[in-house]
Amino acid sequence: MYYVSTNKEDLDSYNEHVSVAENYNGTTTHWSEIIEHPNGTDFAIMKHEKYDSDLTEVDSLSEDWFE
Amino acid sequence: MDGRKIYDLRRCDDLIMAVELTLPSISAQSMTLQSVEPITLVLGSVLNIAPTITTNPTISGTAKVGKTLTATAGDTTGTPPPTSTLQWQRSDNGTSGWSDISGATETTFVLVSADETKYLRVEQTATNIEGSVTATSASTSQVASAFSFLLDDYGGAAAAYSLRLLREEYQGSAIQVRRASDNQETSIGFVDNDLDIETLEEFASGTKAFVTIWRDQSGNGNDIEISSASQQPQIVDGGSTITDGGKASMAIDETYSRGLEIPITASSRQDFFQVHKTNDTGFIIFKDSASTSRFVWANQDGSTSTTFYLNYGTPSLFVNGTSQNPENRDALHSLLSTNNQVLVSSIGGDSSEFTGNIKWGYYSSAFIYDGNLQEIIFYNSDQSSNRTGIETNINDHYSIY
Repeated sequence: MYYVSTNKEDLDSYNEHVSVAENYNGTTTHWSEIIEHPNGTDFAIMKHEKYDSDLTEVDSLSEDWFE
Repeated sequence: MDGRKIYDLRRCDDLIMAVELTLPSISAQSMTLQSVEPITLVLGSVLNIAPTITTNPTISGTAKVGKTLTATAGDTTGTPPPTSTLQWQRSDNGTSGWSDISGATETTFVLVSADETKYLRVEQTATNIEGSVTATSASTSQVASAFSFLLDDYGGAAAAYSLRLLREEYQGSAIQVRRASDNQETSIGFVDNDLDIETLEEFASGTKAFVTIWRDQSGNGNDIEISSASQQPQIVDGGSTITDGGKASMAIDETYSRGLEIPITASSRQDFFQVHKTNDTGFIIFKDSASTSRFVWANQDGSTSTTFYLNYGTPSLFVNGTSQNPENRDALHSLLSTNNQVLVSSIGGDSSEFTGNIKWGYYSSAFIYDGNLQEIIFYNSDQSSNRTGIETNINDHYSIY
């Protein structure tokens, strides 16, 4: 499951929210990487099973995200 | 009936006391004890008692060439107290034909090459002036060959990652892990040259643990660090260490993975060896993190493509020690995705065109490695003459083929 948005900051906020809530320390600094679509306008982040968001949720990312 | 003397001998420590009693007169009618003469105590000489060994001697330590065995003498009795000596003995089968090892009479014994495949025990002899007695320990297990550290035999690696100890003098840990319960992290080292599983599972405390750092044992400091929690390989599940072939292994899930970033420098000669286990439908072993046009060993179920590598020289492939020339990516997939442990040796690569790091196990969503991984060794030098030796070392440890 992923959250997708054209606003990268929304995904950064989700990432920060999860990271703070999980209290990562040591080598682990954040929940996940923000994935940028090759089109340069779409972004995605993996959903953490414990944390929901109002962002648009998709089951998976199509291959064009990774080309 | 009167006047007769009897003696009662009683032991007191090491002395024997003789109690002399003079029987009193006894009335024939009443048989009543009339009187008792004074008791005379006579301190006798020490009574010597032959030695006995009441518990057999024991041996502790690992029966492997280069390791030290330690004998503990059994308990003894005897008068005077016996002194014990030890003699190490060797046997071909562990049950008969025991022979003394010349000069091996100390409590410790360092196993040497002559002991390999043999069995050892220790014989204890307890002696005092009354004589001597012997007892033997149980036999050791068959003495194994000396542990051979891969990087001690084949040095010069550019980076070396493993869940076993690769270099005897390496003092660092194997990995750093994060436990799922509270996200705390700790380093996990080695016990008997393998990952310290007991400490790992104790730390994981019944939950999951993920690898945050895979240490480079080459001495070059090229640790693999994974700062994103979602992308960290898993090494403990449900409190138990993930294993392949009885050895610790880490699981890489393609749902979460974005590969491993290996920070070694580009080189006009790059040979590497790795141990993995997967039934993935397709993956590449690695690519240039800065480009999709530089990669090696692409394989995919059903693919007729013959582009196994691109801009990576002309590497040769060996799988489980055997040279392979697959006709296409599908054939290569059949070699690498067997759902068993596989040893991949790649000889003669050239990463000099790489401008980024090595991105291991990730190319695109169609080529994300999904499976387990135990070891990767990179050499930025020609290892063709060492290949079989390196493969033997790896296979001796993992028993892959």
